[in-house]
Amino acid sequence: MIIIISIAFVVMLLFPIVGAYWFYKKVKGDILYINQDRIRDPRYFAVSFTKMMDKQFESFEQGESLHLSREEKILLADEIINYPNPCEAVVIAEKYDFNPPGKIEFNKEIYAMKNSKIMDHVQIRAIACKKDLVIGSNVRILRWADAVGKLIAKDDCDLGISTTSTKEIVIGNRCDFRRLYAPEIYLGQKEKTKIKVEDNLNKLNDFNLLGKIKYDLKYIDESMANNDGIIDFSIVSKYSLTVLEDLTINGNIRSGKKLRICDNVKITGNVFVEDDIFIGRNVVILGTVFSQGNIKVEEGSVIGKKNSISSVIARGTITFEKNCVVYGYISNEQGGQTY
Amino acid sequence: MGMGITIMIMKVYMVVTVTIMLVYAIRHFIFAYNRMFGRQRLYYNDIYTDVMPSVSVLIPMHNEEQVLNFVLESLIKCEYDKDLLEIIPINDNSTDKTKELLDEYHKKYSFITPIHRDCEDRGKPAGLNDALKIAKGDIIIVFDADYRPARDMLRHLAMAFQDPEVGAVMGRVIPFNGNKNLLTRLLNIERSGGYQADQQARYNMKLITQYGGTVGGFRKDIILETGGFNTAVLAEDTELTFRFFIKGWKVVYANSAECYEEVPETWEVRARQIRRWSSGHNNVMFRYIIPTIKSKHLTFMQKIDGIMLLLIYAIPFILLLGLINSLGLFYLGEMNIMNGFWVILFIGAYNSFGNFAPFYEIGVALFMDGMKNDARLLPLLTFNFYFYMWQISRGFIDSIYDLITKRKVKWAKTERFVSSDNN
Repeated sequence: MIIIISIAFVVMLLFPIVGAYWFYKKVKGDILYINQDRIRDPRYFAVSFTKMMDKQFESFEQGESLHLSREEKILLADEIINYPNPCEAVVIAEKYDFNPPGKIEFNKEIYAMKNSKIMDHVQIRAIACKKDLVIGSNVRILRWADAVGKLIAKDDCDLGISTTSTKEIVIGNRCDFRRLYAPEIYLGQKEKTKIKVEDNLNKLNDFNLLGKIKYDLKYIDESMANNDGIIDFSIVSKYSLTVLEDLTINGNIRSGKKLRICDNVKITGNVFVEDDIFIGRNVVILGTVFSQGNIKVEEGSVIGKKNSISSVIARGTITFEKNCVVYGYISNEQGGQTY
Repeated sequence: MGMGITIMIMKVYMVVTVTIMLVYAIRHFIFAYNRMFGRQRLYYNDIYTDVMPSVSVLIPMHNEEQVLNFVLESLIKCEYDKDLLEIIPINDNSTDKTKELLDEYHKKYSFITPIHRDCEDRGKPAGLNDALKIAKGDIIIVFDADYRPARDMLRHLAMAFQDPEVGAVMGRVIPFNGNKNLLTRLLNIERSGGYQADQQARYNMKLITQYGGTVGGFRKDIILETGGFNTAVLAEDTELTFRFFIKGWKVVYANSAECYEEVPETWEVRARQIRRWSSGHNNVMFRYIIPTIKSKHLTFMQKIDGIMLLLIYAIPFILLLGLINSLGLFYLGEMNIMNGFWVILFIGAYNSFGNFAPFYEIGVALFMDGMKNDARLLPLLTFNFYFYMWQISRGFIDSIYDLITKRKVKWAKTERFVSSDNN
């Protein structure tokens, strides 16, 4: 009996080891692939799509399909009056502006080489526009939209995963977004009435990446200002932090919990927070705003500086009230919205 | 009477060892669980900004003629404003063609400015200190000579310093020679567990993320204000980690900042490497365990994690003694330590024998890396366990000897296996 138990013990002990060694001999391991040439590009989708399209389209003849990631039927918008609904072909508008009628579903990509105006209640998988792109009300973008010119989205749109422009984006009210990128992004605004950011705000000094730091504050108020009325240090605090109204801070802010920035505050540096950030009215932050929680931005606030790129990043949600401006990039994981 | 006291001490030691093993098992299980199901903290790689810091890339080199072109060519291709970048290869007493090759690079590229050290004071910390004196960048990034950073690596690492709380950043290394033999295959899965699960979980939970000495960066001013690198310490990376945390700075982990590295291909080289790591790490443990407990900048959980991290290269020695101790108790007929319910404690602890905890982490990491088939290699880590237990224990004894005798540390570079012909 003891011999049997001993043999069983040895077999059970060795079995996984023998099995593992057999696996090692039979199956080659995986080496994780690192794309050594990868560069992050906020307009990645549009750039790679248009590059592929331009290359394929050179030799395109009518009636053919194009091989993109797979064989795709092509519809030339210049020759179409009535679109099928839903439209299951890749649409290319080469010579004329792309202005499809409303209430159509485009389930493949659209490539507009001129201007484009999307009417209300259209659903689009993705669109790359080489000039200006206007997205009407209640339009739903499933994946991405990009314009080399201006991109204007009216009220109640869903802007998909990525909306980008090389010039500017103007987004109306009650629009949903995930990622936005443009040198100038106007949120909760209309193209004709978009606010002009005061020039003097662009004259605020750039900050040092690492200046004087004060730790573990809970409030920032005017008693901390220097003779010029400026708070001339960065703040790193493990507590929730409140910055009181009308202050100017020449530095960075870091909070280990929540941050509240009251109205009319100006911050020349970056803002990094572990939890939620609440940004009051008419606040100016020249640097990057980064939250592991949610970000809410009230009316009239500006993040970034003209001719420069800053970011607003949230692990949670981002909401903007009307008349906000961001110079650069906005990204969130759980949904962004304009009021 | 004397025998009775001895047996009592042995029993107490048994209970202590078992408790320590259980605590570490729970710790690693928590990390594995957090990585799989917990809230993942964002790193900073999503940020776009044109306000980037000036960077000096330091590359310690000793007889690296075979591989130095890999790292330099990769860095030349990096997407980083060359007006904000300088590369300082540190030629540390090389006897091969390292000097000549570096001078050729300097002639071609003005932002590559090697320094040549020809002195008795050898070693990585001493070389880094010399380079820090001339480095112009606000941020220092260190690579080993055999590394191959991707084009966006510098940007990826430097971005962390937009956060005013960050003192240092650590990326992830991936073995490129993982398929060479059994050892490299096992090291590949260990690395996966160590970075993808362990480091990331510690970053998620805001614990003590480790700066690893390479594929990482730090603020130059902080290290200079605190006296530069300590040349009496072999594990300058661990020392930097604790120095920063104790002073209130944070070390962050960039899981997506991936870089290829070469892992040892022979057991002899691996033995020397792990013994050296153990000696250096325990040296840091002796210096920093009290300051870690006393630090006002660390939370309670960070102190617990910090202490456990400092002790990690002492545990195998404690366990080795525990195994010998348990054999002694067995043959003395004194294994009846606790009755009833407490037996479960011992069964649980002995089932985490070999610190099964890494198994959870490695399993989770392999799943996340898309290499779940390699989890079938886990049983072979049993041999690594005994191998490490022995070598780490030797390293622990080395560190005790160094502490008592104040012996000067001797630097040794890990042997390379790749050549420039073998890209």
